Amino acid sequence: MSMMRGSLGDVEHFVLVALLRLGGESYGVPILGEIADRTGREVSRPAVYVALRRLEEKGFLQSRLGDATAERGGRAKRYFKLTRAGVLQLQQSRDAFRRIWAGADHLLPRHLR
Amino acid sequence: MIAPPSVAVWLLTRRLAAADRDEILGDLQEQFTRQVLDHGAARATWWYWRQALRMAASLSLNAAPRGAERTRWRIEPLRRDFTFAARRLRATPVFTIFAVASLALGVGATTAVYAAVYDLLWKPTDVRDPDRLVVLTQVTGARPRWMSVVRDADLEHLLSLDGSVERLAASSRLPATLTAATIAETLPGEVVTGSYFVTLGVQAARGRTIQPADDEPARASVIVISDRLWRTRLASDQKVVGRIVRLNGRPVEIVGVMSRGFAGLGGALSAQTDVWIPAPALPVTGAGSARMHAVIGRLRADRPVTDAAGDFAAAGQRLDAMMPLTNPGVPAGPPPARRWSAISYADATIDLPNMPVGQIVLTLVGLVLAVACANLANLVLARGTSRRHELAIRRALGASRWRLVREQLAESVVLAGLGALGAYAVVRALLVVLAIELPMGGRQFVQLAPTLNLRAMAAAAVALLGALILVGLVPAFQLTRRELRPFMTSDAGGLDQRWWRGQKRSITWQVAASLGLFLLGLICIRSVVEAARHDSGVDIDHIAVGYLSTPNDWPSDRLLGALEAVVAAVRQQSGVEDAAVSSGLPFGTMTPGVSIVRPDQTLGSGNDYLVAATPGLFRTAGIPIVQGRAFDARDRYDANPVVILSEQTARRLFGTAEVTGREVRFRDWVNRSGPGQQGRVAVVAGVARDTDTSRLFSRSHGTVYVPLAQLIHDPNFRMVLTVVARTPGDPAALIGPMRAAVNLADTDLAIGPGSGSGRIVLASAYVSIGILARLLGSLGVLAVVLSMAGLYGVLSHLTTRRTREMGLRMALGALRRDIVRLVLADGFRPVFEGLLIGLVIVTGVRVVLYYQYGGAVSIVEPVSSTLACFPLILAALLACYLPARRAARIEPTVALRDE
Repeated sequence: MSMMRGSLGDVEHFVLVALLRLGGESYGVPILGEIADRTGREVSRPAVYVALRRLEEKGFLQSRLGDATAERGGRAKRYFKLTRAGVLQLQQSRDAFRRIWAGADHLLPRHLR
Repeated sequence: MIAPPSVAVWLLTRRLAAADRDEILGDLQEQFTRQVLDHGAARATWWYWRQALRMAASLSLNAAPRGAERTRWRIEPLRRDFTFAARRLRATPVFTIFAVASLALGVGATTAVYAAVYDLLWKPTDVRDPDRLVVLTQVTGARPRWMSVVRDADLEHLLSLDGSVERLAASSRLPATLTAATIAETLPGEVVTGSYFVTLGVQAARGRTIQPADDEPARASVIVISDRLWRTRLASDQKVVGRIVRLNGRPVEIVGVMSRGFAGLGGALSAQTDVWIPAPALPVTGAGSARMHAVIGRLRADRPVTDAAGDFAAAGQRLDAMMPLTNPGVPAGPPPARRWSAISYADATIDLPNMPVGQIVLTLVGLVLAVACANLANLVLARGTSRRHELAIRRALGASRWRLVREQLAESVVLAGLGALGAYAVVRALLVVLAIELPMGGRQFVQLAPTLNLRAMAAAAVALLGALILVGLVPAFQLTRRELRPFMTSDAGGLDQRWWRGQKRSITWQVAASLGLFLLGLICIRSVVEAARHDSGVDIDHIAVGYLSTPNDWPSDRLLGALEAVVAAVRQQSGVEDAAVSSGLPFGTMTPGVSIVRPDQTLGSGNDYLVAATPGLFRTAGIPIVQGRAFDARDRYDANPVVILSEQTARRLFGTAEVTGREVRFRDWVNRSGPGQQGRVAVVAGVARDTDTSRLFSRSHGTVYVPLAQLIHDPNFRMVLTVVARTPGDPAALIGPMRAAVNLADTDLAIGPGSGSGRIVLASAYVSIGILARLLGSLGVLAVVLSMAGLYGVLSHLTTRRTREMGLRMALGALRRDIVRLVLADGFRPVFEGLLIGLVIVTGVRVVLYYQYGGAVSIVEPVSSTLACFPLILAALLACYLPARRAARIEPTVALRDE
């Protein structure tokens, strides 16, 4: 498997999937909400923002400044959009997970005893 | 909309890189708004702080841009200093907790109390240049009067005055009943001329003030309301400007809300105005209700107050010549005259008698701060000595002096930061606790709304940080001046003698100050306990008292019917056991004086108080009937007139004889020269248990109770009516339902200002004293707790330091008990000296109080004085004894090796 500009960390992976579910483009609050809802735990906020920055640096995301609303105290949103590279990387990561997990599911309970 | 906590936002703004700031702060605020809606403001604020601290602590998000190695090189050692400091503090948790608590309580409590006193006494008013503003005074007796001195008829003439003042305005106090969706209440109001706000130079916080154009009778009726009314009765309605409400039954428009800093002409300590009304909005009705006005004027530039005094005096003489005053009530004596003069508004509104109270509180606050400072200094000093050894070694190994100082500074900064957070929490909590309506006696309240005073907080913080940093640096600096070797090898010399003497002196004064504070607090608390235990004869803890405002022009039949409806409606409310309407209660309200005699005697001056009441009053107020019967449905207007006497009155009139069925004659003594001077004759129906009269603790007069139905038709009796309701629960909570019930019974009736639980309405002065006493008492307790903690920290530390010396003594033959005795004696001496000094100071204060209040305070109180010393002695005992015993137990050889 080719390591395209580094593999994805846990939080990075979460962020990309969340974006995928949110229709490919969204901003901080829904992303945080989606991750919390799906994983059932509160993900560290700084970690998510750091992941967003890093994913953009790697070219998996593109960002643009959005509109400002009163409920945000007049501050602008930053919208993140999945790039093609990002989707491909996500696909690779998912496949990698699938492959390494293949046939290993039933082994978990045995070690929990 | 509620904004996120500003300090947290500021922190994030500082920490986040400019490129990320908008996005992250915006996201946080959006979620914060949702948190407020879902969980309320308090939890949302807590959530925001948690998120902000987490964000601020995240290095990867905040670190300087990659590649800026220079910055990193400078930041890195600093970061290490702080990490090191935090680790050292964590290693000595007891010291850290005591130091942080000292800082937090010292800064927090003193700032909050200062804020409360400041808000009460020294809050600057919004009035522009109060020194250039004059008030017209009527010279009578020692103190000139300035409220309600100018008649309606004189006003027009006076307002056109031209001379030393460039602008004049008038105001007249008048209660007005305001009816809106959420309230129906009689409020303190001021009827003002259009020039009033311009002359005072105050602005509205929302909307506009009353303008000269509002003086035109043709204009729509408008009012301006106070910040207090807006917040407490109208729920801070954002759209209040333009709202139509009813004032004395007439529709008026609210055009403005005043700022917090202006609560009426009377100044901060007077009754606060809630409604400002232009004269046309509240026309004078009937001939008998002419208004009396206060007149204010703004001086022209460079004209002194004396010029205005001259102008007013001249105007008064002109008016006296044009239309002389007559006073039909007083036939003899010199004819009344307009003896007008002027004083500056600033002088008129300062209430001198209240100043010493504030100064006493401030002195005590200063003392607490001093105790906290001394405490912190002692702690840090003690800790410093223990580090001298370590510092000396490091210095010898090549650590730079600057590095040691920097480490110490970092530790102080970490402590200060923790202390500041604690102080902030303490202040916030106390400000909430202190935001109360302070009863000032009678029907007057002062709304205490202390706000965080940054200057006071800064002053307290600087004092404590000064102590922390200066004293903290002592050991690091000492090393530079002295030979390192003695510190390095051990602390053989025990304690540096000069240094120990200094510390002893500071312990002495700390003990003295905290004992003094505690005992003074005890004096105050004792008076509160006495007030609480005192049986006033009226069950003030289970009743609510509401002042009833009634239309002036109702015939007495209609009024009586309405009052009966009120009693019935209030009884219907849940939680109400019984209710009655009365003309006040024997004490705490304005009750008319009455002169009462046997029919064969002549009526003299008033010696008793008169209370007219509906039948249920005795059950409601918990006043037992000891002879005969209480009022009942028989005592109607047309029935035989009856009275019920208090035991004292009955005894004075009839001695010990049976009094039920005897006749008496009585008369309201204010109207002694009026038409009712023959008095009314009535039969005694019963005798009621004595109560306090006039005010709490006073039993010098008796009370005459009369059925309200038999007196209400008599024009000679003018009464303030109260609704009294009894409940087993919280009486203060009864005022709301009472208001609703009164409004239900008759929409023209309302419960007025000054209503509340029986204790607040009837014993208000003691409630205020109680609040003050509790404040002082808690300051005293705080000082003692701080001192105990400090004393333990310092003494136990110092004793531990002498382990080696004790080993030496034991090696030379000293016995264990000698050692313990020696340590106890050394440790106790400063404490005992402090206790003695404290007791002497308190006795001095008690002597002053004794002569001031004639025996209400005894000079020596052995029990409380002894008890107060105990916590301090105990702390000192534990602090000396435990380490001394430990030291005396170990083998001398081990002790000698100890470093």
